[in-house]
Amino acid sequence: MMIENAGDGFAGTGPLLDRSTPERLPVALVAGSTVLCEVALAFALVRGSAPPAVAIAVHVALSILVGALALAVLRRTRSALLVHLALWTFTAGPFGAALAAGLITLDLTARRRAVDQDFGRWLDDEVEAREHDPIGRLRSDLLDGRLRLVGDGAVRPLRATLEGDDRAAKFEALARIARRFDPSLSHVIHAALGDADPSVRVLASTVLAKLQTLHTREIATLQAAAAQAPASAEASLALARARLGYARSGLIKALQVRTELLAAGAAADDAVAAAPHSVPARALRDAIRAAIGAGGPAPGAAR
Amino acid sequence: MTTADICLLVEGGYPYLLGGVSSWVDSFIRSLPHRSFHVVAFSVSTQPRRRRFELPDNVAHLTDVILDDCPPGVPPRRRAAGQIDALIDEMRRLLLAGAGPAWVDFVRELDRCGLAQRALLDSRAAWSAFERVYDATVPGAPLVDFFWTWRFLASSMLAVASVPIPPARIYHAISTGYPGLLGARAKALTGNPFLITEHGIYTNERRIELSVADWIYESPAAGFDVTGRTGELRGIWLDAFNSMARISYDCADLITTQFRMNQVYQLHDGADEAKLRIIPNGIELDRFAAIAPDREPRRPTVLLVGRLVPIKDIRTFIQAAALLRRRVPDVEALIIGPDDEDPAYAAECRHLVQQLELQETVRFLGRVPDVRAYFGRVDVLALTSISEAQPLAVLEAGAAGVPAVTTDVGSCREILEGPAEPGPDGAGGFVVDACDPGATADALARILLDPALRERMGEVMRARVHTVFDQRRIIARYDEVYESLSPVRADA
Repeated sequence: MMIENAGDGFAGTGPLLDRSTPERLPVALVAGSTVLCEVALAFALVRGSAPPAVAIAVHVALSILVGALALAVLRRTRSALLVHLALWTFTAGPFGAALAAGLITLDLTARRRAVDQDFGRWLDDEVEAREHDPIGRLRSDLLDGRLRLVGDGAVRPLRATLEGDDRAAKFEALARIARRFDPSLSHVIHAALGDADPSVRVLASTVLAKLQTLHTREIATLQAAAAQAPASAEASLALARARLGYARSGLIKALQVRTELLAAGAAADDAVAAAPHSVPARALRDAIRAAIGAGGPAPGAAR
Repeated sequence: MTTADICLLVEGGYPYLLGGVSSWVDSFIRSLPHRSFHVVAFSVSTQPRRRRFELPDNVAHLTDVILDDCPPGVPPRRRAAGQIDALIDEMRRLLLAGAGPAWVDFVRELDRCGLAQRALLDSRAAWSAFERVYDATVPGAPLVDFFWTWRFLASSMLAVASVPIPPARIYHAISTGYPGLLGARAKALTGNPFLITEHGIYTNERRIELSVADWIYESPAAGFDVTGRTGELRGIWLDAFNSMARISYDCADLITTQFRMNQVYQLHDGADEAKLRIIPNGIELDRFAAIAPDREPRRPTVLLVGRLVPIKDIRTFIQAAALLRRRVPDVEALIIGPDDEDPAYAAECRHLVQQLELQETVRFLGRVPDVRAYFGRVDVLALTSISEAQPLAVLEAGAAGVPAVTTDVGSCREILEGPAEPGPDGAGGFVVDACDPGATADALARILLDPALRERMGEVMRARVHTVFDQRRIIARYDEVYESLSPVRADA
């Protein structure tokens, strides 16, 4: 699971799918097989056991086959790993296939490592990393409205405001966040919770509670709607998305993140049960399962 | 109408709403049976006015001031446009950057001319003056939003400036804001002393409310640039409440509050240091000191006393209970407090208990006849509030020898750790950050799992509360303040 904000993507399933990669083994298998085929073809060409025309034809056919597989995987999971493999293989034969296979191996290893880590610690590390890495900062800057065509240098980062002594500016920063919250700004609220000025801490707590309440009230409404229409896939899907949005909001701690993910998964299961062929419902369910799979035991099991 | 010893000016609570300050007011009046009181309750027309407290016998009168119900006043004379213009301009200055002397001049002028809503809000001259106020204040803001902002602020100011002043020997406001304005006016027109007691700092509380208010229009043009002026209409509300605080402080003879940090804010808001006093909350020690710990075998128990409302952050307490159960599997977490103030929030809390599978751990007891019955049967008190002044629940539990884990709000740190820092006698519990279930659970676990520590902290709390928060002594201090302000006794 990624804690990074997906913005409006919460409403859809697209940005979630490239994180789920349910076909890790097939991707590795296809990559390995392609490399072997290309290497064997190259040897056959060098030794003269395959004429150049046949070798080229087999190379093109193999590239087309990998390309077709890549498109199928891309359509189902939005994973572009095999597209790379197909393009590199077509362009540079065995060398391209080997290069692409190496990149795929690195990518899959990195994901596995993340999954294996303890859920809560991993989640916190992830949040921490996202706050400080250049992309996280750039994203925060864009959302802050500090990157503009004119006068961009005049706008102070909100986090920096919290580090200063201007109490009014701190209040103002939190007020703006309360009105136009984005998950990537949650770190500003959390920083304000530790401010030396008690009144800033109180406002930060109030803003946090208000934003949490917005989520919980929306969830309660959608939950009532889903209970009234148990056969409605749309109602369950909306509830699953709302819970997932809350889990990814940056407003709640690891324990509740996991609880919300489990509840989101149950709602997504209901949606799939109501509409077994619904692509969005199945995709969301798979994404939530993958996110849950990255965590530890369920809250009930912790007793 | 008889002249009361004390005119108590209270906004938004007593006797119509339950809550910490309302309970304090009720207890305060009952603790001074030898003085008569005239209570002035400030509210708005939409607030229900069903009494939640039975008025004590020494309350001689209760007067309601409805802030959005301005008296009509005398009709404007034909050539009064200039006078109306000048008064509205003065109102604008008072609302945006008011001070005591200007308020005194304004209320004297209104008292003399008798103008109010008809002349200053509803007349043609008032509309012309309003247009000029708009152009001079926030020319870019939506006119309709500014109109209603101005309408409420001006009419509430006029309501306070026009209400008959209850006859009393001392005027005592339980906040700045509107009560403070009326106290300042009463002092100006009667010459009698004016005292302010602030539990929470009015300007801070209003600033927080306004920061999360959805009903105020705010242009998105400023983005996240926080270096400029506070956004438009919100800025006007903030200026108005700051002005009210400044006027109140300027006119008050004395300003009391419960703890030191509040004084820092009062100084920041323009209070004169020479007027500041600290008088903490007090509790009736006899009612709590006799509570003996129940030695019967039972589950380790945590108690939270508070209404089920967002400001008490019950959600954090429930999550803390879930984490605590991992370390103290048989722990029981009790929540005592009414749940009818915000039913939706109460329902969310109950849902969270189910979601976290805590049905066997967390129990909602609702309103109980006497909370003292529980203090002997619990091991530690929890307070997860995101805002408090000097919570009575912590003091009451402390008087019964129950240690506490509280958030770092109001004077909780002073109560648990002493006025400076933990002295040789140590702390009476742990202070944790707000909205942090993990830290709350850790602190609760430390106390629950260490009987010796629990015992020691309970004794520290008991000793501190008995030393500092004895209501008899606190009431005596208020009596002294009243005496110092007015040599005329109630029975004189």
